[in-house]
Amino acid sequence: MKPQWTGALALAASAVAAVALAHNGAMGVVLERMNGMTAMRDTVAVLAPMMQGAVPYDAFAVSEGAGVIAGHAGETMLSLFPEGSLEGVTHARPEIWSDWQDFADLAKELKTYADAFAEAAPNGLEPAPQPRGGMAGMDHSAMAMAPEPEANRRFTVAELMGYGDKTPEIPVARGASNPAMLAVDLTTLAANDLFTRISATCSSCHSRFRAGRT
Amino acid sequence: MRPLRGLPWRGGAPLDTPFGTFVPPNITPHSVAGIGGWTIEDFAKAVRQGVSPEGEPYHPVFTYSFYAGFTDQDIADLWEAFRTVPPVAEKAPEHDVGFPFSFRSGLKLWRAAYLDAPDTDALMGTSSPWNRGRLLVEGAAHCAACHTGRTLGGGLDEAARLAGNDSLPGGSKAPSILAAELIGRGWTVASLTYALQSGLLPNGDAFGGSMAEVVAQGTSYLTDVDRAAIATYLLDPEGRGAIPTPTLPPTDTRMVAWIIRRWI
Repeated sequence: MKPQWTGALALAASAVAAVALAHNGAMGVVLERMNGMTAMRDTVAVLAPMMQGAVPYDAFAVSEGAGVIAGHAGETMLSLFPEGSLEGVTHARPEIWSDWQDFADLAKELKTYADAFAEAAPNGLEPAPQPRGGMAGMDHSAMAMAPEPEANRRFTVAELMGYGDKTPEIPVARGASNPAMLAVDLTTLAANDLFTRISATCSSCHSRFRAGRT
Repeated sequence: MRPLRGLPWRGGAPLDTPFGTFVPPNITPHSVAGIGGWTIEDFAKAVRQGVSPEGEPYHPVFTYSFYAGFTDQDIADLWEAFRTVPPVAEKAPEHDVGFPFSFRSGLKLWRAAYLDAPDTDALMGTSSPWNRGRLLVEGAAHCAACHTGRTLGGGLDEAARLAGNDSLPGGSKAPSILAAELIGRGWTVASLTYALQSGLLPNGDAFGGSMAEVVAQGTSYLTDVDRAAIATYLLDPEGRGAIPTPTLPPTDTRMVAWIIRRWI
């Protein structure tokens, strides 16, 4: 066995041990979903500096990380929350099942954004350029100008006061509506825009359905 | 973050506190159900002093004590912004607060005991971001309202300012945001600035609880400069101009997990 594999396996063993310790008492689907959440959290931690431009952008790593998130989102996530699975150590709140549709919408929203994130990985930190030519006669209303990066956006008074929609080319932000109904092609967005939407979806879900943590 | 249910400013979700249940009122510009009949002077008195147009003190669940330092321009800007909101004719339900807390005149005693204007004046020898951060943290952002425990009388426990609060309305908790503890948990100006925009912690977790709402409905709308100012002040509240670099928390396994995925 190559030394690097030995090292990697040793790291894997210690990671498994760390997970087991961290989830002391969790078993079955509870443990499985905690492991999924941990995998997504670790992926987000690695990608976040890249999304801020603090470390060099790596499209392959972004695509791979997006795949990790997508793999734990949507129906996969929902299948790990059978009704009333609150036994042992869990951060799940019973509202998951009383408000199941909302929970399911968030899980699916996460999958939609993560899938788009994987496809948009080559875009980098800028929206995909508009294709040249061949656009005559098309309805451009859903393909408006590329949105401003989230951190630099200027908001209207209506947006700031909470009664106005976000800028028209971004009809959804912070989990505000069903992304499947979007007029904009998510895969044309900058990768960091999608990453922001993913983190907002996570926060939205945690605030409603996760107990005991801020 | 999903928008709060209902029309904006028509009255918010009830707050369960040890003193009773408080319902944020309708503050749309509706002339009867909201604040449409107010003057800008009424508005200024309500926001900066916590006194209604009828001269009654507001319950301190309205965090007016943090807004005492708002300038006339701040008030004018807020007033104009509120006047653009679509009016809603529906009045919010009344508070459900038992005696003696329903007795508003008694709040004058509370004000005498606890009401202090925040100290937000610029401090000689400190940086511009630091001063801006102090203005926001101690004032408009009212971080202490959640991150500081309360005394039996409902005032802020100044001896443990920003040291966390395990008894927020609704049963949630706010952790300590004292500089040493933030640094111990791995926060830097850059990561805290980013968290206030994105809701992400340095370990990749996403805020839940009330802080998710604070980011989604509040700090994500700030400029990056203001978010960095908040982070600068919180991590260096004494204004020394130097912030220690945190070491990675020992429980942080993200690099291990990432390395494993890349190798296996």
